Amino acid sequence: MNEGWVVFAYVVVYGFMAGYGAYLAVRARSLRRRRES
Amino acid sequence: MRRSGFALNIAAVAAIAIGFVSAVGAPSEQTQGDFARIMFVHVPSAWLAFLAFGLTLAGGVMWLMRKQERWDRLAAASAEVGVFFTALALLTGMIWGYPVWGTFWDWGDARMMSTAVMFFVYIGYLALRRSIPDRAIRARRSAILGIVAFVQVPLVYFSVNLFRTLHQGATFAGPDSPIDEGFVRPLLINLAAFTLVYAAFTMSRMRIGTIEDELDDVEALPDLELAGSGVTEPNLGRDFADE
Amino acid sequence: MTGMGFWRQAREIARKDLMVEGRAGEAMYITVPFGAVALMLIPLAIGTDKPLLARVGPGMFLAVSLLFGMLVAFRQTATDTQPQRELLMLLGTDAAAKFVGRSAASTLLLLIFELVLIPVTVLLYNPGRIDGWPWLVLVVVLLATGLSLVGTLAGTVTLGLKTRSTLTPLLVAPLSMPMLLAAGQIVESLRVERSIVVWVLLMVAINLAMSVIGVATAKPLEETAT
Repeated sequence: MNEGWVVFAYVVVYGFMAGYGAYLAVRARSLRRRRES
Repeated sequence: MRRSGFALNIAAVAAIAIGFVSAVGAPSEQTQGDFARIMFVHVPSAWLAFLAFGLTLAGGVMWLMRKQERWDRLAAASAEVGVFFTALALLTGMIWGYPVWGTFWDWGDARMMSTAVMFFVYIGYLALRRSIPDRAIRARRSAILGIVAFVQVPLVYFSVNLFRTLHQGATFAGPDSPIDEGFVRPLLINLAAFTLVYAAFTMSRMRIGTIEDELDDVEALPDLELAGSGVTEPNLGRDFADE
Repeated sequence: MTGMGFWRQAREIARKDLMVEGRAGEAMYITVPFGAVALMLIPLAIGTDKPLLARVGPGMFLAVSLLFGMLVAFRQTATDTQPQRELLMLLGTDAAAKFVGRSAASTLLLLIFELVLIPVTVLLYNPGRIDGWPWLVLVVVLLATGLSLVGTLAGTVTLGLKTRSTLTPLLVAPLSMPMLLAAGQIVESLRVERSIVVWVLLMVAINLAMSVIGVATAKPLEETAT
């Protein structure tokens, strides 16, 4: 009964981390590109 | 600088992987069974949320004392990463809470309440920063908001605790109720892993802040060269007509 | 202003603010009616069941006082324009005295705001008599001072910003949570005849903390005003 919630929680946590990490990476890259131009 | 950032990122990912393995490998908890594994991600998230908040305060205070830009940059970066971890703490807390309490929210839970207040305070902090284009003014006002907020959050914790003990008595099963020994190691491993993730995110965000400031300076130059009565500065958020 | 002591400066600033408010009437003729309308809208949303309204009446009064009352603290007339700020600085006004004076004026206006809304609440919600109701006077006063302190601070931090009218409420609301909880608990405790001491102490502590922070940060914040 409760395993589904646990899995959901972990998916949320790791998913958010990956998402935020990707967001930061993309933002950094686009800013560096602007700086070079 | 790029290289050290890369190493930290790799370390953070590796730590999370190790944390996950230890979380999966931990024995089932006595009273809550597998369900308590949510604690391995909830407690570290909450811990990092508070740590980030503390560093935002520290960065602000250090800036007020030393006036060095990197302190303000730390405060801002920590605030943004703090919103992230606060949101995670709230979400995981609610996911834990629903099967246990029957509702997503328990008004007597002092820690969740403090976390929720912190979340909105951070949002306000970031909104304030976004509204101020001048770097020094932004740093100073943010620092002061940080101080006011820092005083209030423990007050929330204290007052909600008081509220709970007066209404429900001392026994209470919240997301931070004590758990048995076999759980301590995976908890600590994940705590360390989340801290590395926080460090990686904050360093990255600080770097972004540095580049943004550089770009602001560079892009403002053409406007400065044209200075004269024929050109007026763009209205970036300060409007004296409103006053 | 240089000849005057701290408290005299604060008093003069408060008097000036109240005079300007007297002429402009923003708090009294706009915010107070706004609060009254809010009290009227709530039963339409939550249901007009009389026992329900009697139960939530005092709480709704506190919530409306907080959410709408905070507008009193950063009303237009409490905000100096740049020429006014420069004039006060040239006159040698102590920034902390300005904070104290401004908060005092806002407190008075907030008290009036609350005092007008109390009968409105009684009329619309019919909460019934609470034993020990004179203690509610303390709640009203402490809420007014606390809210005006937080509001004045938040107003100073958002000075000159375009998004001021929406940003300041966003800043004040979460920071007012402990105060609202304490105020609500005092009302609740009076109703069930429990001790209110600890909640009163909490409200006093909040007021003290905000006063200290406001006074201490007044000078640094003055330098950020342009």
